[in-house]
Amino acid sequence: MTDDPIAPLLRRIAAGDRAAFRQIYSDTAPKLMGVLLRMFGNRAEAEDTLQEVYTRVWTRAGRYDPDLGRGMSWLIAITRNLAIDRLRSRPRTAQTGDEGDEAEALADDRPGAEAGLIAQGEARRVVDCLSQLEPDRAAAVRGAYLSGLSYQQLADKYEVPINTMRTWLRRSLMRLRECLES
Amino acid sequence: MTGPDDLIDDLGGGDADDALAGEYVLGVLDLADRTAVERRMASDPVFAARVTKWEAQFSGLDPSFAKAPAPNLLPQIEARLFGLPETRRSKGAAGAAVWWLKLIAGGGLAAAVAVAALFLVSSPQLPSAPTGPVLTVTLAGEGSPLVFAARYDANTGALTVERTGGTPAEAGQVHELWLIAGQAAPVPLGLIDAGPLTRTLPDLPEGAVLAVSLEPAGGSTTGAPTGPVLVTGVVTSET
Repeated sequence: MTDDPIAPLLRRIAAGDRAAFRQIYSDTAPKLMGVLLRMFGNRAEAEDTLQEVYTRVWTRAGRYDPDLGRGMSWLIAITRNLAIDRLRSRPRTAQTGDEGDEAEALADDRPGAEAGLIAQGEARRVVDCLSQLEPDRAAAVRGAYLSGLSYQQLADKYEVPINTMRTWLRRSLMRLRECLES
Repeated sequence: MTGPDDLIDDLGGGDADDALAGEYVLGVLDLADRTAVERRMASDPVFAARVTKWEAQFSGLDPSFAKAPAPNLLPQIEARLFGLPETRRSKGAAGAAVWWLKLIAGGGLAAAVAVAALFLVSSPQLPSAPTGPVLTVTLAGEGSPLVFAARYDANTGALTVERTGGTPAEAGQVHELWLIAGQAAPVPLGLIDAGPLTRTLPDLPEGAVLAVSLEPAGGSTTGAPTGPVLVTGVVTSET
């Protein structure tokens, strides 16, 4: 993790360094904004959540463990968790139709977008392993991780009962694990 | 409808746990199931490690998130975290009581507990003059979104404290209120849950510090804060 520019900033933030906090904001807010826009599809909610994300970064920086992953991965995990908590707190009727044009526009799904940018061994393996699943099963996993789709939304999208979708996805997870650990 | 109990598939034991951890990381679970998983993560380190592992593995998809222009929200975020400049100044005036907080932060509790000079008497006596001031104190911290509002009515001796910002303590933990006067040891005033906490105090001296620490469920058993001090506020006279 020697070339991780975020990890040292998180260490300084854990020690109460406000200059490091400002720097991590300017260095990482565009990426985290991209995550939130893709998951919410609207700017107001994304900006609101972005404030919560950095509030949590300040209070939890001490929990970051560089042995478990890169600083940016930790930031994105916090961002996704907050976004998913919000999405799942919405009334059920509001949980569909979030994949607006803006969200679609933010999907960087060009072939090679993942493979080209990742140099990490374990982290890039998931891309290889996903490619070994049937295309629609892999797409369901990506839709959940990248767009925050719920089981209900996935079931609607693929026109299968929700329990079928759940069985598919859990089996996909087991196949992924097998591939990742081989 | 998607509860784990309703699920019929061929996974069992560690496989079922791994699948559930993966579902949590993907984010597909509904809110009730998410909350249940988070509770389990707090109490089951083996399960929590499964979640951490999936998080690391799926982070390989993170480059698919494109960057987007982000407005500068730092002023709002910093105001939320650090409060307004006036708040900082009044915290700076905490004087001797801050000594305690430093001691707590340094973990040097054992010796300090022995001092435990209780200026709070157990039987509240009302002030003789029924025209005392009403004090309000805001408890905030640089490292916390938490805010508590305290109100002390010197006429009745009633101190009321409630949370006005941030979230309740996570499962298995609780917020505990402390009063620190001068160099005396912190005095526990009680646990703050959803509703306001009310205590009767004979006095709330200027310069005293109200603090909230994070404690295990049920509160500190040592009589002194054992967890981090999350927020503090100094009692100042507004006259």
